[in-house]
Formats: sequence, structure tokens, C-alpha cells
Amino acid sequence: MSEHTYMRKELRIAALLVIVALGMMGVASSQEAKHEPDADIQKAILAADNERYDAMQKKDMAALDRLHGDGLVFINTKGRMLNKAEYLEEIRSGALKFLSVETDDYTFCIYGDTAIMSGRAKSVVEYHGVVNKKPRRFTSVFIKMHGQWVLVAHQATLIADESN
Amino acid sequence: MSAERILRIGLIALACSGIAKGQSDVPSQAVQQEVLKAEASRDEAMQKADMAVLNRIYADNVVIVNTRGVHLTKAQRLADFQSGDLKFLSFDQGDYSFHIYGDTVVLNGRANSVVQFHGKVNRVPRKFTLTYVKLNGEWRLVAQSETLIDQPQ
Repeated sequence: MSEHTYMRKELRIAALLVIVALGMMGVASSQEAKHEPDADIQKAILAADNERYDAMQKKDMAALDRLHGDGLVFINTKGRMLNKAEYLEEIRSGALKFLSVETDDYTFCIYGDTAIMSGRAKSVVEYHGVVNKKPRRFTSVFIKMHGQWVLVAHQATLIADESN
Repeated sequence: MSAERILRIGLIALACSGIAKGQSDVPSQAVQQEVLKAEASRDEAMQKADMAVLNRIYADNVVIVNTRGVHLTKAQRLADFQSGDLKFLSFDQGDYSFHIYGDTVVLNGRANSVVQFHGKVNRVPRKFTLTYVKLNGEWRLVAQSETLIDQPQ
């Protein structure tokens, strides 16, 4: 290979690197600016959330472990904050049971690999022997990790009776 | 321009793209300080009803769930501050925990602030989750959720 040909090859590689780098920067900045709900992401998150509820009802601990981030922070309607181990233990032990699952009125906000899902839950839940049928508002934060959406934060708040 | 020089430019551009993604270049302590600084600005702005600062910190599509389980938009929350329907009579929050996922920070904590909402004073302590996302170089609040802490009878 002549010196001239070698330099041309290097030039092509360098130009390609610049294009790839600029492309990656473009992707990063578009993620920063992305606010619009994306139908495919919403579907993927709803699928992950449905799988989560299904796993809770079946006490499928392997699936629950996979679907919750290690840094999970879960705040229940009593204002009690649980980490992943505490939350999964409540499900495994039967202290937390979903007698029925019903969620609706979703709002999604997507920021790259972060998704905020808010909604209303009318699920019937038994918690430490007490059945709760009161409707709740929840906010869930999902992060895409290694190609999968996992729940990293969840907070539920009882919907106040407007007559009070 | 020499091939070597162009290669250098390519490598610098590659490095810059990593910084732009901001996945792990900033130490977590520095990120915590940045988010706490945004929180301090928000706290001060809430007490002074400084709408310009609140408008900058709350993301346009912020999802807010208050202690009554009501879902509020940014416009509704800012209107509450502007009208005086929501007033912080004292501000006290702490017991923070941080979880950092690249340009997303989940901040949990406890608030003991005394709040007046539509004429009713609320002194019940609350647990909160705040989610901040770095958008165009600034930490913006994209989700806020609050739940009253069940008091033992």
C-alpha cells in the first residue's frame, strides 16, 4: 500500500469517526429534548407494569426481581418508604396481596430512557390483613436498563373524598 | 490537514458525545449537590411565589400528585402559588435519599413544612418523591408525588 493510499484510508476512517460522534451527540441531545409521549414506549411500559402485577399475584419472585431496579424506592399510601428487599418481602410473605388489579387514567412523560407514568388505581389490596378498596393516585418512574424497562420509584396517595 | 490531526478531531468528538450523554462522567456527590441546589432555589421560590424561578425549575410536562391524590399540571401548580391558594407557612424537609440514573435523579425525603392550601392549614408530615431530569444542561423537576405519613392513633 502506498503512503498516499494509506493516508486516504486514514482520512476516510477519521471522517467516519467524526460523523458517528456527531450522530451520537445528536441522539443524546434529542433525548434531552424529548417530551412527547411515544406510543411504543408507552406500550412497553404498560407491558412491564402488567407483567409486574401478574408476578405479584403469582408471587413470581424471579420476575419481580427482574422488573424492579435494585435501587427501588416504594412509598405506599401510608407514607411508608420501602426498599426493594422490603417490598419484595411483603409480597413473598403475603403481607401485601392484590385481590384485584384495576388501573386507568394514565399520563406518560418520556425523557430518553426515563419514563414517568402516573395514573389511578382502584385495585383491591390486602395489606397486613386490612383490605383497602380506596382509589389511589400513583406515580411510577421507569428506567430502561440493559434493554428492559424497570421500576425504580413508585409512590401511591389515597384520593381524598372531596366532601371532606 | 494531516490524517493524524483528523483522527485526533474524531477521537475528541467521540469523547464529547460521551459527555453529552452524561451517563457517568459527573461524580454522584456533585450531582446530588446540583439537585439540592435546584431544590433550594425551588424552596425559596415557593415561599416568595417567584414565578420566573418556578417556571424554570418545573418541567413543562411535570406530573404532580398532591397529598389529596389530585393530579396537577404545571399551569395548575403555578396558578396555586400565584393566587396564594398554596402558601408555605414554614419550610422544613430532609431525610433525603438519592438514586442517580445518568441524567435522572430520584430524590426521596420527608417534609414537615406547614402548608396552607385553599385556606386549610396542613401540618401532617409527608413523604415525597421528586424526579429531576437534566434537560439542556439544567435540572428540571419532571415528577412530584406526596403522601401523608400515617400517624399512629
